Amino acid sequence: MELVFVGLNHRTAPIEIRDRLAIVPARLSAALTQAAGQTGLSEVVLLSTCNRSEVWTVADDSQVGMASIQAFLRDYHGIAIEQIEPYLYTHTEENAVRHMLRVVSGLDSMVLGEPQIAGQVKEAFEAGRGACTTGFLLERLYEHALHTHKRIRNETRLGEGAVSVSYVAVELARKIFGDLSQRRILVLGAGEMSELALGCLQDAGARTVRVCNRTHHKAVDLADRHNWEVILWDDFPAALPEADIVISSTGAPHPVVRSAMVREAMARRCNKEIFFIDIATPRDVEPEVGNLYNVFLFNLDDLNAIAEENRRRRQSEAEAAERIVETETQAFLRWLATLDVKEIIVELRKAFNEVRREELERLRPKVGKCSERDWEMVVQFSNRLMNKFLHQPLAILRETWPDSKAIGLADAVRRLFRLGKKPETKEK
Amino acid sequence: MTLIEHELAGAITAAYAASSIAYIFAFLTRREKVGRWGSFLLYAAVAAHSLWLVLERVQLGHLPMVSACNAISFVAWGIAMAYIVIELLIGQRVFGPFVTPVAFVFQAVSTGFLFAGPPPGPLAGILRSVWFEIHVGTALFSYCAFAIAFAAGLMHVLLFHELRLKHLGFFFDRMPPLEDLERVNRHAVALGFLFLTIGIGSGVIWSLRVPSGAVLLDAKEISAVIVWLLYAANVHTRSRLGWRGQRTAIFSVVNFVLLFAVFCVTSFVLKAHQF
Repeated sequence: MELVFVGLNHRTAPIEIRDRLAIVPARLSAALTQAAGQTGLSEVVLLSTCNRSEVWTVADDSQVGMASIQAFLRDYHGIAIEQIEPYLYTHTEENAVRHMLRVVSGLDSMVLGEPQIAGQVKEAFEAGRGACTTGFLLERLYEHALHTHKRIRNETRLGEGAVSVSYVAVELARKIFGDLSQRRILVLGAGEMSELALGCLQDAGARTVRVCNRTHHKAVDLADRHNWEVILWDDFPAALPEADIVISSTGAPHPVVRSAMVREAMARRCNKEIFFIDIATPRDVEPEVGNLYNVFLFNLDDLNAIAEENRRRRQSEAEAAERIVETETQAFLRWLATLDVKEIIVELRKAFNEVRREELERLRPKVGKCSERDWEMVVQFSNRLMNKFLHQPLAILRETWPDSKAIGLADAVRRLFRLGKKPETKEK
Repeated sequence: MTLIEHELAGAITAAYAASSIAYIFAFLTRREKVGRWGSFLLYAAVAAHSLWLVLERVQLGHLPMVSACNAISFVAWGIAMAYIVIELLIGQRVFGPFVTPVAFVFQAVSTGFLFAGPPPGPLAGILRSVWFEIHVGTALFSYCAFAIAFAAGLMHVLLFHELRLKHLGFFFDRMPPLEDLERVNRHAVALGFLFLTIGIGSGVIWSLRVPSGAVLLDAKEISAVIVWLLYAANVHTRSRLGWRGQRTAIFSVVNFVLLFAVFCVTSFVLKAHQF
């Protein structure tokens, strides 16, 4: 039984190739069934996100497994294997364990430490369970990957600090206002950047949005798409006092939000905090606005600098996270090694023998004067009884090995007779 | 005061110190486990402090809030209790490193003078009045509220500064939103001001009811009026002049530092307002 993972991601393949190998959720179940039908694959999980397509399997043999996965990719996607082979990577055994732990923890993601991938892997496993293609080994590895992910979240700061301009803006808004659901947003300029930043704010709970644009119909188009309120461009200074967050992204060649305009608005809103997100180039908001009392002004350069700083911080945290992944990889491999059927049979016999010997020692003084021959019969009886009890379970273990079901049985035997433990991290 | 009460006061001070250190360490390193130790130590300190207050009550025959040492110790207890309520309500320990050291400083000052000075005597006859009890109780509760406002104000100042510098880091990662800090500060100042007003008002009524106006216009009473005026300005600038955020936060921080200094000077140096 070997873990064999084959796939490609944003680092190894261009987007055209990634798109070709993507599997839409609606077809995932059929794809899983087809993959599991390939020769020598006993467990299959398919992970398909916008940045990666991977086939995670447990195979009888790594060479057979790789060939079967390639055959599946060729048949399912209708693509010549020569076309995608240069972009594919293969991980087996230790590397496969390490790979899954890194993927689930976001260490292999385009945005280092991003949390969405853990949810995507969860969905992939749910699909696998639905199609009955997952088994004991992949499930246990996934459980261990989640444990590793949790350790990394608790012990490092890998996932902290937004690394995109939009999310930096959301973090700032949350740090200034807390709950965003009651905050009013004014959008100046109906461009794509505004829509993107606003989308993130809305995901964070912001509801009330007003939008205006010099070309009014563009504002109307944008507002209609999202059910927002539209105001005339000339009316935006009058709307400033009611806004808590202002997103500005016009194409104007000069600042459209003047210092005097904001000073007047602040007086009318009783100096309540206001947050300007100026993502226009050139800038829409006069720099002096940032000096006004209780005004927070962040332009594109500021937001980019914060995102870059967060990226650097994540990078430095990644080293600690990689160390955790390494520790956990070795822990999993140690546990896996304990599931060798020969070792389990020896240990199980030893454990039963120990019980038999103890009971005989306890019995000896109680039976009183019995001949050596009689005692020998008792010993032989106990031995035969033990062998009979053990015969059937050990025969099943030997028969099923090295099928993945045997790994589950081996683990069950270890647990039932306390022969071993779950994957356990020795060092932290 | 018995030896046990002396030792208990020392142990309470040590527990407040240990709790403050744990909260600060947890804040710096963001270790949840250390924070839990901080909470545990604080609960232990407050439990022991409550026991000490009960022992004092039994021994003195009245609530231990009359002598300066007892009063300041009572404020430390009130601050710690108020913090525990906040911690349980919001489920976070973020105010801990800013509030518990204040409780520790109050308790340390109290214990220091407790060890150095003579034990408090029996309650003077003129103090046996319901107006006096209202006066002392509300005044001390106002100090507790102002201490919470001080902590929230200080946190607001630090976070605001980081946001304005656009260099997000230490405080940005650890502090609650500005709006929440402002709300805590606003409510604590308002509550403290209400209590202080009642405290001063009941004190005036009480002093008018005792013979010959013997307790009027000492240094402490004058300073109390000054503190009341400062907090009145704090409330007024917010409600009438539209001051918000940083300005009111700084105002409440400065006011509390002045309050603490004035309380210590008038109580322990000038020994005013003692009966």
